[in-house]
Amino acid sequence: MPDLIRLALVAGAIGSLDVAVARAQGPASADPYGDEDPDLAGELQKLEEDDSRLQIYGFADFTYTQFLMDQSSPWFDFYFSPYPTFGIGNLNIYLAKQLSPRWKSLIEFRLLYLPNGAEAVSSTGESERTDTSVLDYQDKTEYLRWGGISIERAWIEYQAHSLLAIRAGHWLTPYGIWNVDHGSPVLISIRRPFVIGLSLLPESQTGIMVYGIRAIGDSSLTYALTLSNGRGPVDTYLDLDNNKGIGGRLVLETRWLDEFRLGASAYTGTYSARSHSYGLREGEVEADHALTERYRELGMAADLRARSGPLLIHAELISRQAVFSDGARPTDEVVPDAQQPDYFAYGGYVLAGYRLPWFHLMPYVTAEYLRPQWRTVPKIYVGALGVNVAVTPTVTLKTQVQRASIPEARNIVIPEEPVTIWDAQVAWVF
Amino acid sequence: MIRSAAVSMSLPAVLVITCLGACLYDPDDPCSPNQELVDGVCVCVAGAVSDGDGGGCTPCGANEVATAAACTCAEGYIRADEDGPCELLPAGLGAPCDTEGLACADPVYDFCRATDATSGYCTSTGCETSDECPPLHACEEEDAVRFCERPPTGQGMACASADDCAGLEASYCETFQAHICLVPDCTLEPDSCHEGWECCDLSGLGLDQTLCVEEGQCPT
Repeated sequence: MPDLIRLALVAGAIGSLDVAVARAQGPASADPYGDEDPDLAGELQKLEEDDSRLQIYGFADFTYTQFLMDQSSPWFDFYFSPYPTFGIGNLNIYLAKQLSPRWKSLIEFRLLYLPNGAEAVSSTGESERTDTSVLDYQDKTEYLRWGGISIERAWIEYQAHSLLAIRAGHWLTPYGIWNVDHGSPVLISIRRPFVIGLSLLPESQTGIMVYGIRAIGDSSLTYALTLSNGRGPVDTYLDLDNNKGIGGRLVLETRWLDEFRLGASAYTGTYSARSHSYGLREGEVEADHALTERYRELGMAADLRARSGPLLIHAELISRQAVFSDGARPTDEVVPDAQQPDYFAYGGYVLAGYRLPWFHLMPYVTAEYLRPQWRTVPKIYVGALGVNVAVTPTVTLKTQVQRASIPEARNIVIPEEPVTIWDAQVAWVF
Repeated sequence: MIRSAAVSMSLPAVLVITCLGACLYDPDDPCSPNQELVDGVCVCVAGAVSDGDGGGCTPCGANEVATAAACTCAEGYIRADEDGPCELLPAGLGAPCDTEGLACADPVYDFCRATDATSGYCTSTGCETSDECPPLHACEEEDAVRFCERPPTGQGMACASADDCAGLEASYCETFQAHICLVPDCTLEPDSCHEGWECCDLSGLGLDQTLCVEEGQCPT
């Protein structure tokens, strides 16, 4: 049960696929820590006794980042700040409630300092930062900088049967390991893999998801099917075509080793972007709705999570194929009168961690390979070495050194020199 | 039961592995029709021109040649109207001539209209209006002779840089908006531009330049 608590509280996944599996699996469920947590067990018991309470919880992380390249590195000209920096990365709040025995709801949002400080570069090369400073109406002598809110998910779910739960709203796409378990305190490394950040499969979708779990002896088989607006410029509340995005996931979890979970996911849909213009012709208002970009896509992913004693392995392989429609192919941003080709992008990573018997220490290493869709960046290699320390069940310390290399880059603003970053982070649940 | 679960998993796994290669994407055809992949981007094949933002490419028709962004008539052909086909010029019309040497042999197009000192092209005389002239030609008068004047070479042709208009009478590439070749250094009084075009003084925009632009297109 403690494993379940941590997943539920930390990853905000109450009622999610992972927790459904965890509930069915009991002690065999996935847990990157692999230790007991009596305090949270008591907390969960209280929550279960009063399920109708609105549960408010969340996570946050605070990171020190320093780039280890020489101060004259060209990376600092275009992409990064050469100065070591402290920063709050994630500040996510969850609102969860068991509405009735079969109905529940989860809302997650991330509080942002953005758009303050967001940098935009004009076509003439001028860089400008957004400044949200405004005079505080409560104290006319003081300026405050307002920030933003990103709605990460908002859904309601009806649990009809262990084989059928129906979730409606805005939910995280059920694929892989990282996309669903995105709370920094439960993540082993500090930075998410590039291949996850590329969103080869949509990070989240708005629509309906059904899922269920079937126990098969000591193992379980979980399925999920999704129907959504698909990807689009405003896909969280407006579909700009008649093609709904569909997807699915199958997960086999067995007691082979101490933990063994194998998943396969797929998503297909059509992205459409349109521009609207209005004008007057012969006294009549005339509207023009032009399709500016459209592509069909197919994303596929496979993931493996395995643990044997203190050794933990996470691996994901993700691909995306996109085929643009004739007449709605985007122009290339660099070459005049040229358009972007269809593409096949893919990548994968492997993370291996080893839980030492002292102080909940887990040294880890990651390796990643990526073939992105950008023509000027044919491939990316990333490697990282770090240590994760679960100082308490709700506080995790991490430090890592990551090195990324982009060989054969044909972009004049992407240097050949690898990027080396040192991060130190504290992530906590509250 | 484990075995059946494993079998259940094997099918999607095989599908995933198979489609990791290509289910949707065709590496041999990553562009739209009439396009080819060059240095990682889709560009129009030879003989086709871009339809504009996202619009793909259209092959030029008969007697047309692809220029920077438009199909123009091949040498010796002319378009009667903007959307019409390129038709063969009447024999003798537009033939090169010289007022002090090479005469126009065709009895209909027997007038040598000089465009550069003594050299020029053959055309007809005696018109009263432009309707009596070949397509795109305008009835003009000079030295008491009324003749059919052809439009300046290259006028309205798509261009990306000054090089595309070099050597043409419309030698100025307007790269700010229309991206077409225009006739520079025209006079306002009298208006020296071809029929349907007007001389535009761009000094109001901070440019010490006059250009022939389509009537009604001069920024005020």
